[in-house]
Amino acid sequence: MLARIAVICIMLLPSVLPGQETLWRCEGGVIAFTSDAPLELIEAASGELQGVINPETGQFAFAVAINTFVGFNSPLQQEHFNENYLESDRFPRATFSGRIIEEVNLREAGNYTIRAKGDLVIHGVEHERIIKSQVTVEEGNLRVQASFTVPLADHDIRIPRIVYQKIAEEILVEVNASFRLMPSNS
Amino acid sequence: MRVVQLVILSFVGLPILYGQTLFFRTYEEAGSANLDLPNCLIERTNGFIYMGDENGLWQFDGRQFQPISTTDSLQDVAVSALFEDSQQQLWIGYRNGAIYRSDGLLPPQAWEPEEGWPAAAITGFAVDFEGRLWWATYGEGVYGLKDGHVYQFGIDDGLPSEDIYTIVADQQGRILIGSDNGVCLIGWSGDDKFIRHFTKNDGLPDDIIYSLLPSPSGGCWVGGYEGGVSYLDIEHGIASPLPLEWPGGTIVDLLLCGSDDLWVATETEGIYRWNNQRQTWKKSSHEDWQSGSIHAAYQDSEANIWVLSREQIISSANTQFTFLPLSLPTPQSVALDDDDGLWIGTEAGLYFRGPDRQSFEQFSAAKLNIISLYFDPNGVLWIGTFGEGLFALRPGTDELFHYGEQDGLNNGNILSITGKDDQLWLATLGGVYQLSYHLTNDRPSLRQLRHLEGEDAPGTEFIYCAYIDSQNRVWFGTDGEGISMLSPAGEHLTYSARKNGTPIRSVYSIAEDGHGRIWASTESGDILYLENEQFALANFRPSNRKDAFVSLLNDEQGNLLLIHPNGIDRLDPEHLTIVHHHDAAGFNGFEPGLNAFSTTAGAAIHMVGLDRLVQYSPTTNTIRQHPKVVIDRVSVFLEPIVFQNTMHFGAKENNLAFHYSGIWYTDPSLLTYRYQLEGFDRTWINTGDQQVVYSNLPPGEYTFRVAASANEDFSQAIEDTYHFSIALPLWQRTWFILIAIAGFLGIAILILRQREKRLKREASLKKEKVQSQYEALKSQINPHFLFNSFNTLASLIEEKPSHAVSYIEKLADFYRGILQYRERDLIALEEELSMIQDYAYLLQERYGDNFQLQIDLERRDYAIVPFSLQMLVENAVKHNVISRRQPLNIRIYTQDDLTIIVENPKQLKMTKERSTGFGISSIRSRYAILTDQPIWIDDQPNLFRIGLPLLKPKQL
Repeated sequence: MLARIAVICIMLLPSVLPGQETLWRCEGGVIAFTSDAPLELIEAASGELQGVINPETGQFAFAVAINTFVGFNSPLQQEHFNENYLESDRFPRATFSGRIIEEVNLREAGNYTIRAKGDLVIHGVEHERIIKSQVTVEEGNLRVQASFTVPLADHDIRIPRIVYQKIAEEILVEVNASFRLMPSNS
Repeated sequence: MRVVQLVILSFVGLPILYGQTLFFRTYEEAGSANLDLPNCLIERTNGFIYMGDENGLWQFDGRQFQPISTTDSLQDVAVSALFEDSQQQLWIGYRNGAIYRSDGLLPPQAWEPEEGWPAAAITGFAVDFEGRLWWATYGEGVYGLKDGHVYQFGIDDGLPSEDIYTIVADQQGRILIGSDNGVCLIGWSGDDKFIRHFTKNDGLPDDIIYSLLPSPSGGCWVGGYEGGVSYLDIEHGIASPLPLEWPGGTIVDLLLCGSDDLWVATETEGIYRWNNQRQTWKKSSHEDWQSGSIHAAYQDSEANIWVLSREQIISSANTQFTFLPLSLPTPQSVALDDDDGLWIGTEAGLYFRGPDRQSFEQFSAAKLNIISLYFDPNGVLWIGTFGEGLFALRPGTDELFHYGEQDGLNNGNILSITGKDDQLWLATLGGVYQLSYHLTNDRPSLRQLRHLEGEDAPGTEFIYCAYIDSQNRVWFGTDGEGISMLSPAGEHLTYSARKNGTPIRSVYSIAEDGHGRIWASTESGDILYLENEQFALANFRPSNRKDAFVSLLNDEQGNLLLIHPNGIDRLDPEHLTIVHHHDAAGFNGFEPGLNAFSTTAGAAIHMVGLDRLVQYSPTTNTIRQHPKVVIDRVSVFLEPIVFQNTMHFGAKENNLAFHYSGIWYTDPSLLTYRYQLEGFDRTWINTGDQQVVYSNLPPGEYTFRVAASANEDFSQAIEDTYHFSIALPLWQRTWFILIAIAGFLGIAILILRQREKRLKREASLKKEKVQSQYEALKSQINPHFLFNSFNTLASLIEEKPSHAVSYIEKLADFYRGILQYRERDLIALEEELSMIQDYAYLLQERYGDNFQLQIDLERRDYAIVPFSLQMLVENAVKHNVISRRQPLNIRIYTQDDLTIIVENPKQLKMTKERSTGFGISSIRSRYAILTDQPIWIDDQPNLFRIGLPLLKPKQL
């Protein structure tokens, strides 16, 4: 439910924001995760991270479809990932939306270390997080780089005992996304 | 809850007592430290004080500031918050938002959660009831750890402001913060954040809250920017202001001294004290600091208050003592009335100061020489004078009533007055009087119950003091005749000698401690105590001055106080620990009057000296009575090491230096140490130094123990220890010795084997040699050879007689060679060759041109086994056809400077010559003894070659 609300928010975000503001938008960001368990290293990534950042208010929203993650060690693994663990039928998206704590002007070129405070929704479970990110702004382009961990327990993702040794309890997530400045009504 | 009740009960404006000030010591000159604008200070469990200023972090032991550098030298950044958690880890918050952490005395290391550091100044840390860490920032609200993540509480979450000044955990471990918009209780309700907000509307003094102090009774004291202090009852959400007209000032810190004293440090108005029991405010501020501003205040475990300020940097004062300068004629006695009015008896009259006054005024015109003062339970002040008898003053009146000979007081020198109920005891220079009084008239009437004089007097009629103990025994200190005691049953006992027989002479003061033990002080400054009905000498002497008389009294906690010219000593009767309060506490030049103190139940003890009035209020906080001691540096060859992780030293790391710090903020100058290196020192060694060096420690297990004392008594001193071991040098370790023995054995065996081999080889060489000599002789004297030679010779004699001579000469030369070389293992190649040539000559004479010997040698400086070439040539001659059709051409040549080769065409005789098989095998075995290089044989269908190793001539 929460996930759905967040998704709707992302869809509507441009329209609910007042005026003719311009927003940073990202249509094909890369989000990758690594599970480094004693018996197996699993890495997968999606190139379909969507995001929007309002440089005026510091508000932001990100979303990625769970079933766009590829690069698993086997097709079966990908199937388990989607069907058993993340249940992408019920919870098709992971989202992160909130506000940047620091007051930075994201219209100005420069390198910024910011902390994004928001609600991280994975597997339909919302969790407030502060995520430290590197933001680089230059010539109509904004790049976000961040890495953070997601404990499976935080999002009620249950791992059967039998594959315990193959899946890490904390998943390392890395985000690398490029944004372009676009008018909000486009 | 009592606090709240009191708050509600008393809503009257309470007076401020003027003048009494703490005695502050400032440390701005301490050490060479370049201190700048201190921000925060804490005392750690290990005893050290840590202070954060604009330049970084400092460690302070009461004498010196030591800069603490972080692991990555983030040094010149302002430290804005310090905190120690229950694991004794120090948390350091920086103004730039960085957070560092230090374990014990190890250098601080960056502590950065995945979510990063705030970009705003850290203003405080707290740990909640679940052990979770929280930190407050100025600009980004509050951060807290939960399940491994950092969460922010900010405006979005309902926090009224993100500028947080202070964060505390209350008695139950709940987190409270003070901000620009009141106080918030924050925490988690399941997985949801909750924030409860209190404002001025709830009774807070102000919305800007700099200071919070959790109260042991469950609530929290709240210090406002304006408006003073409130007590916040968190459950009910009610804040009650203190019942007084707030004198003004911005509160920067609140401290609680015991359950009764709330200390309020203000930015510019000094320090106020709120006493719950007495419900009075006392303003106290450093005299030369009135214009300065206070940044922060802190209370240590020794009842000292620490004040951080821009001007004085860092100052401390003992909270138990306050001082008021006096300029009165010699004060000799002091008493406190029920309304906090102070009365001082001087050698020239009685002086009084009301509770709301700043100065003393002479009470009456009479210039009486007042030695003793006593308030009876009815509030009547009894005044004992020197030479002029006794006076009485009823409360609220100003008429002095005189009592003298007409009332039975034959002696007018009243040195001490004490009493119980309606009875008075007077110690005079004319014996002891026991009197009872009645307040029927204006003038209290006195009736004499007993007068101990002459024969009845306690040894002498000169009595210095009278003291009633808890069992209603009355004790007298006499002039020269010891101590006397009158029991309630009328029994009279005199103690004129100590347990060991030493006479007790004059006794100036007597008191009973909280454990019922009687103490007395003598004219020589000795302290005696009663044990098993006898007085014994205590093992301490408060003052070294000869004329130092010591006044004794007990405080409300049962401690015995000893007042003497060096200051005040407090004796804990249970552990018999003595704490000195001397110059460092403000007693420099203190000249106390004998028994010039007041002990009024529920009030501070007052004592007077020549130029000052001292007020003593024992803290109800549990205070540390012994110095702490910390081993803070261990050096190996003067190079400091991270000793916390190092317990084992190599054999050569045997020069160790230990540096330790005693912690006694009360008076660091009193510190003495004793140490012992167990495993090396047989006894404790007393020292004033803070470092000891041990050089050339032998291998072994050691424990360095050190203790510090501020009263030279180490029986209860706290110790610090450091265990370590010095390893045996390599050559003394068991495994090394075993390996060495094994090695020696191995080498010995090897040598023996070699020797055996050599002997064997020598033996076989000898055998071979003998054999070869024999064979050579045998072959050379071979009748066949001789027969052939003689046949050849015979034909020569016939055909070429001249040749015959040279033939015989060659034959002779050849045999001489055999004789000459047969004993030797090796001969020069040259020698062998010359012999071969002789031999070849003999053969050539026989075979003519059918036998050819060709020698192609580049170098001849080699050695060779004797007769070896000769034997090979002989073999060739022996086995091959030599004829005109098949001449035998033998070549001797060298190859690669390594091998000498004898080569002949293979033209075997049809009838094989009988072979002994000795020739080649003898050569082979002789060579085998001399060299590793093999003898090789190249036996081809048409060619036979045999190679002998060439040996170096040095082997000759």
